[in-house]
Amino acid sequence: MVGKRGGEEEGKEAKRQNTGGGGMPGGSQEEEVDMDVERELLEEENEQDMVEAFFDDQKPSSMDAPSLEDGDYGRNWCRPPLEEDQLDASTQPLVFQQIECDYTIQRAHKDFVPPELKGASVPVVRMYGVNRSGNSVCAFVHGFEPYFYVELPGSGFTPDDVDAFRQSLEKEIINSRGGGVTSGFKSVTRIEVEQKKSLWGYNPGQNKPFLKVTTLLPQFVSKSRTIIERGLNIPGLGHRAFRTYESNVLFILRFMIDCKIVGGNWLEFPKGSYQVRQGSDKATYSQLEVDVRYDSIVSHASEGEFMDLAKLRILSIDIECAGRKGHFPEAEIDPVIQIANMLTVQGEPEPRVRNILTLGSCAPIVGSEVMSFDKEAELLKKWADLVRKTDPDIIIGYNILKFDLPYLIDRANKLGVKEFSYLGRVKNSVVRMRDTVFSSKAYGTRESKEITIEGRVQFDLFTVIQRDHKLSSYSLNNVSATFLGEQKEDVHHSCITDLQNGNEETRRRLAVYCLKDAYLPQRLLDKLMYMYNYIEMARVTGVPLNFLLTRGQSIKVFSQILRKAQERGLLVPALKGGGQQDGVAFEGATVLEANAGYYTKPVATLDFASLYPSIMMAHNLCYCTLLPQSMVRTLNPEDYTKTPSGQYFVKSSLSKGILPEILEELLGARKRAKAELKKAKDEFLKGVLNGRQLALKVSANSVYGFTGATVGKMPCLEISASVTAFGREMIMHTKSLVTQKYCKANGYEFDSEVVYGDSVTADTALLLRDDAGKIETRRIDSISSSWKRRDDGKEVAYVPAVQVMTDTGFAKIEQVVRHKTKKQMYRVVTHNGIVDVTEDHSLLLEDASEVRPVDVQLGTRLLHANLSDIVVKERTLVSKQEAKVMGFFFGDGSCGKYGSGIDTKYSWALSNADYELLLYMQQLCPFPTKLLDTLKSSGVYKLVTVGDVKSVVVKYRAMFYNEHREKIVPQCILNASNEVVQAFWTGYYKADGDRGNLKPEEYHNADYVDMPCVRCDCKGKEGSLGLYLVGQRLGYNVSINTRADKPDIFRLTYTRNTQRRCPTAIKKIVNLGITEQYVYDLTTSNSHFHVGPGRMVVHNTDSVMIKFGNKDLKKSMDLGEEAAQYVSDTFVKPIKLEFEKCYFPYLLISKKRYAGLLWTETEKYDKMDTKGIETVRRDNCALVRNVVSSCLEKVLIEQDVEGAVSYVKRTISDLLQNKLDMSLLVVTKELSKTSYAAKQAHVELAEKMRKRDAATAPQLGDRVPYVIIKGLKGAKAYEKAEDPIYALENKLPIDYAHYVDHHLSLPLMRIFEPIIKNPKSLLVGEHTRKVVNPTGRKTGGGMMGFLTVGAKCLGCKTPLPKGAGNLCKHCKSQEADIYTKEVRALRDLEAGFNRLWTQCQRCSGSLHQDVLCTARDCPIFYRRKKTQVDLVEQQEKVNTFSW
Amino acid sequence: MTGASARLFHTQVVREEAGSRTAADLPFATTTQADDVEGGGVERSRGSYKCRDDAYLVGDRVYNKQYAHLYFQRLQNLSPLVLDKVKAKWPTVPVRKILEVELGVECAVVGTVYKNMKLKPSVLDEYAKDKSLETHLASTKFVSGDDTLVLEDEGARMNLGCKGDSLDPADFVSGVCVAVRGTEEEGGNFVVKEVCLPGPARQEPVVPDSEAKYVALVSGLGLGDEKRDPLPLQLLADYVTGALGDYDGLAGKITRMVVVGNTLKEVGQVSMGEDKREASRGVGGLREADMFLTQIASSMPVDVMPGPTDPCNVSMPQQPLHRCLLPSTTCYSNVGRVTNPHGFEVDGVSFLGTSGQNIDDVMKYVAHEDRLGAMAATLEWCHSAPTAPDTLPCFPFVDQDPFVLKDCPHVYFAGNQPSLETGIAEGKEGQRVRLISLPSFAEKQTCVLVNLRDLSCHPIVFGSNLDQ
Repeated sequence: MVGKRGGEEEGKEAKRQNTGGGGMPGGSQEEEVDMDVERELLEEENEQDMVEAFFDDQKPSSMDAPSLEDGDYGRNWCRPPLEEDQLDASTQPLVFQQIECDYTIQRAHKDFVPPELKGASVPVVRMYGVNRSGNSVCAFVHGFEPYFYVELPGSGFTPDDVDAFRQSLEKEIINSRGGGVTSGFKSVTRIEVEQKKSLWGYNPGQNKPFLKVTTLLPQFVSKSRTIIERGLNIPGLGHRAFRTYESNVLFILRFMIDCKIVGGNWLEFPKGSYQVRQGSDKATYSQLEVDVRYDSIVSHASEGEFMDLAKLRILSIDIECAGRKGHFPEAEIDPVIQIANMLTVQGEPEPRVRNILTLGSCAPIVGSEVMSFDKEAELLKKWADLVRKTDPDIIIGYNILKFDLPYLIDRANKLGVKEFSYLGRVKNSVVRMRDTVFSSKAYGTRESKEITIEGRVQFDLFTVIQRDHKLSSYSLNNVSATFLGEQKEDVHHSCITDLQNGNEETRRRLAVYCLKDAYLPQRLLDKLMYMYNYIEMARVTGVPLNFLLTRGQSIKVFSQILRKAQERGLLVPALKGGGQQDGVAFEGATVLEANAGYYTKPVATLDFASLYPSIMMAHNLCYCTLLPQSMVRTLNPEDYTKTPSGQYFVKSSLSKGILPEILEELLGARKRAKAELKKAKDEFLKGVLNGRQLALKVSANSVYGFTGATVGKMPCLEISASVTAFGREMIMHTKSLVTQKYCKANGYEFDSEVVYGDSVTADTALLLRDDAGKIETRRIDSISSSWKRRDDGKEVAYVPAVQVMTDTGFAKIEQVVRHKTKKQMYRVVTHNGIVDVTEDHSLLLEDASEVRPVDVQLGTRLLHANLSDIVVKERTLVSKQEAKVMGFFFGDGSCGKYGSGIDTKYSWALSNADYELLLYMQQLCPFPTKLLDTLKSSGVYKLVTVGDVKSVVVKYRAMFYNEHREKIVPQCILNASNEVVQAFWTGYYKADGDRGNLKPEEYHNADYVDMPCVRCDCKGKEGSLGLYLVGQRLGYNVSINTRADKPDIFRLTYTRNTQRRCPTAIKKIVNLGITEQYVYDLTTSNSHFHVGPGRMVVHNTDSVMIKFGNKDLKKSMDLGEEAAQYVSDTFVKPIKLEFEKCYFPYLLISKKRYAGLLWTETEKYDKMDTKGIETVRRDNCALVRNVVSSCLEKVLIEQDVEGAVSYVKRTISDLLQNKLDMSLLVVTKELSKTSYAAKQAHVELAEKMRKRDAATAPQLGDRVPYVIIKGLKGAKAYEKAEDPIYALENKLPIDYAHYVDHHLSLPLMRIFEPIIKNPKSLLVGEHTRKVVNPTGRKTGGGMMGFLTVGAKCLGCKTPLPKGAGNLCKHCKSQEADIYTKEVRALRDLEAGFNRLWTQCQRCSGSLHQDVLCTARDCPIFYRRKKTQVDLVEQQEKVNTFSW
Repeated sequence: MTGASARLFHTQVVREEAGSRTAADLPFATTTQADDVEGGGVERSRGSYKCRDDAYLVGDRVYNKQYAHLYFQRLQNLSPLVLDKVKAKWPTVPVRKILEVELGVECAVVGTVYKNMKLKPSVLDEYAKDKSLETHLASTKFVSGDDTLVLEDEGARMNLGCKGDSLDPADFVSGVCVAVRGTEEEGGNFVVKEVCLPGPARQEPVVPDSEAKYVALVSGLGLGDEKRDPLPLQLLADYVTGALGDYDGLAGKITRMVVVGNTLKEVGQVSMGEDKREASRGVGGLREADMFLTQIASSMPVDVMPGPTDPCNVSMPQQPLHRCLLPSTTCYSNVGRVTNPHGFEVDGVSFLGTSGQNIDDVMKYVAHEDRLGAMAATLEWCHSAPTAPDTLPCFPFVDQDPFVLKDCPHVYFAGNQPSLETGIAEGKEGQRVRLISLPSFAEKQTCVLVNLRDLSCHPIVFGSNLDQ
């Protein structure tokens, strides 16, 4: 019998492949939302067979009571025996904590299901859990029926129609399924009319009738939904379609909501309400199996005694496989040789059982149970046996979902171990496995396997940690170093086979290692308090534990909305998902930041507390408060809010929203949890409370995301757009408040200041408006001709009389800044906009949060301005005729002057190959012209002016060309009436438009062209912006694109249809290389400005900074506090601006890169806060991380800039003199694909290593460590990468200069640029003069290979004749000196050797066994090798001193 | 006999109050007189001498091995000794390998002790971000209440449970081979009832010479320190060479002087690119040392041991100082440049001494401050440097453990200790060992004369402050 986790299929069928229990490749692309969709679509097809199978199938009964020779530890495997009286349902209530929930289709239970369903197959919910004494419980819950609602449109639906409706629906379902499924029972059990309301939209009236449709099986719900929404024939009413409600709720969730059950809570079945199954009636391996009706379940809130966790059994596993040399183990070929198991009972500090199953004999391990097998099949069988015997509730491990479990399952299949597959709690039900791709905005995309082990939750620490923590590496070693503070021994997989093939001692060695790896996940689980946190999260959000692990954020919000709506009698509409993924960020905005520089005075930072949740609460934003436009007029203005994005919501005085209520409860509960946390003394309680408050915070933040996820269950862009618009408005508001109040004029010692950074390229086109209200296009570099040099070397210009377009209309330009730079430029193209910006400039996401071009991806949506309703105040007067000529000129015209001095000639011409067309133009021209036939010479006819050519030319040049001789749309057209613009457009279209299949006569003489779709190319950004504006004026949707071959030509596509693709999503990101030109930035009152062509809006380096006049931290904090309070008072409650922290000192490198000492109290700084600085990125070698973090420490903590400078110089000097630990220089990159287009160092190296020794060479997915060695002259960087160990053993010289130039230079420049005057001096100068290049035994090759290294004097390096000792005659007198020097070096190495190797002994936990560890993540891995090699060498050197 | 070690050590340490003389007691001859009595103003007693440093001399120091071999050799060498003791002590208790231990069945197990100490500095601490660790590193003791012991044999390791008084982790150090009697409890802890140690080793009987002869021990001359007062050292030289006259009749009976390590204050700070004058500082100390040693050597045989601050390798055993460091001294045939530890026999009395690192390191592991107790403990453990290699740098030996004490010395000294302490350790099998915790001369200006006849100990202090 195959059980199912959850319920019905979704209307929209996801494409996916089910790989069953096999290893079929091919995954399904599922987005977060699809995760909420039921998965077992294909299995559903087999449902009937399996229903039958359940009754016939009599699988080997031996598995009912797994027999196991109980060794010393054997008894610990088992759960405590069931207490006798627990079996007496008539006197004992059953209380247990449920942990996992699924359902199955079974014959209706005679005692718990109404008699009319006798003999029918009905859904039975199975709840798995553990009671107080630690017995496993499985409850079969009967009688709960799947249902959903249908909206009845208006009146005229009589009770008769209800029946007709039922019958049609029934028929349709049978048709679609081929009938016979329900063996004579109705698919649609019944339909009742209920009075309800929809959640969507403010709806003050009476309840309306809804049909409640109850079906026999869960899958009929979505089937019915599809049918009903598509429309069905109802006798008497005709073909009708209806909207459905709550038809997209999973059956399991439906059940839990209706029974008030939340994930992982305690349930109670009162005495007499349930029946205990015994003996052969039992269908699962659970100790206690009961039947109960759903309405007798008492669900306990998680309070008091029910806050507890039951004695859950947690099995942590790790397997080892014997791979072949040079291959990663494959389940098809390579055997599983060991499985380690750690069985822990929740709440106990130590594992109950430490067990290892080994293939081949294994020497005993103290404290652990060893079971050895000769045959792998036996081993697998035994393991499955043990799993059934110990009956774990939760299976944990590290990467078990992607590796261990699939490997075991594949292996068992391969070996034909049938018994293995029965790992779940349900008897005779096999484990199923298929590939999935989990993709979620919040968690990112992860490939994984979905494995169904009924009744047991799989908790893969790897997945969870990857989700919840940002780490440089997710290797178990690094994770345990990070969270447990210890290095893990790492045995290379090539070594594992050797250990296996050795004797029982070597296998024991391996077993010890394997056991440790099985214990680590358990310790991580404890340390990170995952059990508490996840159970808390399940309880708060009401979803089962496994939803949290396998699904995204939205199901949690959905569950809460459903529960809330049910309380109010509201129904949640089933919306069709669709559209694109939406980019939504949950981050609250940081309001006040500082300008780049090194600040030795305190800098205060103010933040909004839970910004988005507070906005939603403050303004009562919810589905059920959304006021339709049509109803606005019917209400009092004080009863609703108009949001900055133009939506209306009623105030809470009229109707309180559900979302605000959910948020209030979540945040209120969080507040309580935090308060209790403060009071709590008990560690356990603290863990629970902390888990709870974190869960609450995450949940509160995900509510906003839920409303904005367009593919989600219930996207409501009215809500999400309003939230972000409010957020933007508040940030601006805060800024202006702070700038106005905190200035010298108001008696403060300081001014708030608006500051600038670098930005966009010179050709960026702006849309400007002057004081008179006229608009024009202008290149940013032409915006001013008078630039003043500022202290920081940047030039600044003021253009007081001009406003620039922003996302919120025209705004004042406060200043324009330009400076020359040497930075990477990026071109970012969306469908409606384009911009060329520097690498660190801010683009804006739709919610106005800032993002760097290097951090966006294709599809990311950016903020765009609305250009369609620009109001032109003053119309210019241009005749329609001339406008047409102008349009034509813009398309196909030219004018100019030639020659010089007296001999200047002027010319104005329209050129076209279509003679007719030019004739038409000639009629329109307001000045005399003639038509020339130049078809032969230039391929076109020309219409040229005659007479006063000069005046025409001068006029047209002024109108049509900018300073860079690019054609632009004349200002007089942009400010003209629509008719004139239309005429211009027509002229332009005639000249240059893409005519499609129009016949010439259709456009030659047409007065106006009004094509639904036009495409044209235009050179230059300013001209393109003009054309873009023209298109928008005429009501076209204009999209924009670029060409790779000609970057200054833009293709505009005009359409009257809605644009196919999301207009604001990024479609191209092009790296334009490094520019050394001026780049520009301009500052507006709202920090944003629009860039043309297109509609995109970017962010200028904004930021108000409160500069404090004194160094007093306390005073700064008080002022921060005061400012926060001052601003908060102007907002609707509960929105609150909080003073969060002071940075002091503060090093701001650029927008997203800073470091500072963070203070929240005046006594001691909390920590050093860094962002975007090379302290953690793992692509960097440790040297960079060390140098950067030491510098920051010196600069920030010690405030010793001098010290930092000399530290850097010393380090560089040491580096160049080969005095640094080589492990600092190791760079690691993951080998992710076999074929890279460009040659990459680590790929080349992996290849090289494969040639040397295929067995130990890095495999796909491994991280490849390398150092850069000195190569031959002209060698490419990728050729100079070498395996650090190989380089050490062969004494290959390291290319130290490379590390200075390529690794240290940039990060150091970044840090020191704001601090010292000439940061370049760090990298050149006295300290870099002395370079030591050790001559290795084997240098890179070339001539060195033929040289023999002769003896040299140790003192002065003079070559010595053979046999002359180690010193020249001049140095002989200083022998003691030189000897002492060498001995000192020897002593350091000896001490290092000792410390390093004893540390490795400690880590590997053995004194008498050699250390085998190959953990390359470990900081001392290379160092110990290097020390060893150096020590041997140094000892040899010392030995040359004769006795 | 101290409280901390009382439960474990059978060796009785009898402390003696060292009634020391000071230079002020000496009738002063002027230093110029010393020149007149060049070569020793007294008839000097001679004694037979045998150097027993063979095991400590490592000819070919190759560092391509790990430390596991050393522990293995240690266990190989010591387990027979322990087993003998076990047979005598617990005749009915079965001896098991760790892997053979059965749950709940009492047995004895022999193995190497490893002490888990959270304060033990680790090279990984260098990489730890948390700066508060530094405070731990600064502390000289690693002992804390959370320390636990594990016992490891060739096959496996197990946790030693400490119930009651049977075993106090604070008394133990890593690297000691012991036998424990107890039972394994659920959860894998082996609960120890009693401990059995391998030593002390057998001791050769001494045939006392009728004549009183002395061996002079001095440690930590600390030369090369410009601030040091040169007078006490000169007094010492003058005294032992007899230039001061044989006031107390002892000087003439000194048959040999052992200059225990740390002859130099620090290894010369010679480094590339640094000031030449600084570079010569190391040599300055050396020249003084060379002069001092030639002065002594002209009068009697001298053994020069290297110490942790001498220009010599740092890992134990330290090899003899190189000839180029002491060019003049090397010319004297009666100067022995010896190893640290240094073992020798004079007139049948066997000496074993170190420059003190072994004891200093042991002290970091134990809660008490009893230096003599620690020295007695090393005898009890039959191992002079059990904490090597765990925290004491040590050469990775492959085929031997030179620190295993195959027999018990008559005189056992450790140099460079904080103060002079001396006592007799008495073993159950009649061993009598003179323990000397020898202070650094630079600090305490003390030289110790050991009487070869009765192993009595005569400290002489050469304080230069003549006003007292």
